[in-house]
Amino acid sequence: MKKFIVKRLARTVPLVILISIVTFALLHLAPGGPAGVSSLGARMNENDLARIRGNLGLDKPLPVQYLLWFKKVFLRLDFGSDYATGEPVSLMIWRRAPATLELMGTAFVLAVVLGIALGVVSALRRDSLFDQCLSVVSIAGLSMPVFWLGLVAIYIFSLKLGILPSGGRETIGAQALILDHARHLVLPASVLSIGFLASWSRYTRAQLLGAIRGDFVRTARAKGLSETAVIWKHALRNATLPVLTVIVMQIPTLFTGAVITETVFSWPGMGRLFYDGLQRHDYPLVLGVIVIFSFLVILFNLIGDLLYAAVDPRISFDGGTAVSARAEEL
Amino acid sequence: MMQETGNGFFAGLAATLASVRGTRRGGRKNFFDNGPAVYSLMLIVLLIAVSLLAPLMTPHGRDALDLGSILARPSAEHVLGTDELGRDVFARLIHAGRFSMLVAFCSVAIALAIGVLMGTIAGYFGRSAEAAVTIAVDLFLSVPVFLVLLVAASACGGRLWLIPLVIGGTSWMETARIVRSLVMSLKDEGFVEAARAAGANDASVIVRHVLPQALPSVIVSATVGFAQAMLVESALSFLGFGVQPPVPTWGNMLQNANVFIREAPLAAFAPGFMIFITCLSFNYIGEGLRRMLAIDR
Repeated sequence: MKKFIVKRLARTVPLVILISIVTFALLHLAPGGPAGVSSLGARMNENDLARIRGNLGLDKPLPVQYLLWFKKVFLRLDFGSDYATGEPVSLMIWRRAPATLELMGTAFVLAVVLGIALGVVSALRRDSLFDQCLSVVSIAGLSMPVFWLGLVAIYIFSLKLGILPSGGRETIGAQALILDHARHLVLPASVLSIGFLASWSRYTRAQLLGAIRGDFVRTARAKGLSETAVIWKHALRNATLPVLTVIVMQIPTLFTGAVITETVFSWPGMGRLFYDGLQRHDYPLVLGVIVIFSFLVILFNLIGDLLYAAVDPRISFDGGTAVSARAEEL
Repeated sequence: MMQETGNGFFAGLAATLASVRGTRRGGRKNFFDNGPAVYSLMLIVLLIAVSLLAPLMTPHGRDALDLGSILARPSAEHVLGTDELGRDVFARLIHAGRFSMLVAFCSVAIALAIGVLMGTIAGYFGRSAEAAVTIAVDLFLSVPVFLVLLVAASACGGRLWLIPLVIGGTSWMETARIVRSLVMSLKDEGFVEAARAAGANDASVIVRHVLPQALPSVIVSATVGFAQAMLVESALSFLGFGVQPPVPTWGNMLQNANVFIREAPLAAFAPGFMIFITCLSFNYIGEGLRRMLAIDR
């Protein structure tokens, strides 16, 4: 077990380095460059552009540029500074993190609580009207483009009904701060949570139905336990652990889903920061966000694998293949 | 006599129909018993027909600007109104179907090609081949996929044909996993050993005997994958990194939607609605196929 964790953690660093190399190459493949998008772009001549490139270190050969970036990030944990403002990238990300965490956390709680609850109810009332309705709603939720759902929500709740703000995180000069904050959070958090809610409720339903068919449930019933005890103490306990594993592993997806939601609702978080940085060809900023998110994905995958192994003792960590075992189940 | 022959014929026909329509062995269900799946299939056929015949369906050109009527309300001339450049939304909508569906189709084809190849190699040859594929799958599962997709799409610089490569190249892992486990369980079956004993080499055993068995699962995963690919393309195009205007897709028609949603709500809703019903249909078809082929997920 300890060996497995150490092995996985040791693999993390080369993985992230590989991802950063690929991202670096892709960024430099993109047409246009940081110098050209500067606000003075149109009025600059070749000499000015060359000088800017020189200042940003973009005149050196690509491998040298990468190695310089690499040295800074992995040896000194310095992500460099933003091309446009000169601010340290780590500070920019740090400042945007609370907004994203707030949006993500709310969406996460919504999706987990509602997803599991709806899944349980529809499994217990299999083939009822409720079950069938939830099935339609969840397949619809999985088929809906998130940004479009956001637009529809803005149209209905902000433009037509006028009861919720259409974007941003707070009203400037608002009086009741917490209430104002909450009102801004309702639409983006609901929109972000829909897809996860749909998929987690389906998964919960399937797992619980599987558990109810299991031998241990028949045994519990044969022992004369009440139906409530059978469902809540035996079936549900066995069903929720795999559900939790899947949920943990999808947390990073929630992060990346925030890119779209934050763009639609002008939410000042990390996703929006990444999107703006990519549009400005701000290499240090984009690379910084990707490196941080890669670490997060790997971390949550590892936690998911450990959870999965805790659930299913048949999985051993000897060969370091818990990942493929988990992929088998998904 | 005639009467009897007639009866016999119709009885035979009825029996055949019943066996096609009814429940078959092993819990397999007939596809056509699944109402939503059938309607979905019909809808997809209709959508494909309309987008292929797009130029015949509307008098307006795909990119024709009418600066006299910008963000017009729906009217007899412009059924769904016009967008922020005065282009007819309905004309763009049915033309966009071509590109949205084509990009999704090519993305899935590429994902399938990579996934089937990787899965077969890993499942059939085992050992170091399997280890290599596992590393590749691990790598792609460790990537914040959507972020890297955005970076890769921005590197495409609006070249339409690169978008499916980018989407397909990051969504093959599921297929590889399915094919690997199927191939692994099939390669020691009697009919495969018999083929090998009869002198068939690895390539022909794989292509003729192993892969056809994996086909049903691959088809189901491709159907659901189509919906996924369309959602990814639309998100990329919406954010401005996917397919670039004037080539219309349902995603990039919404690029400026938050600006014109006030004036022309229909122009902002229609493209998203098309994405929604197309993906919904593919998901329902996938569900119907899964039940028909009795594939457990």
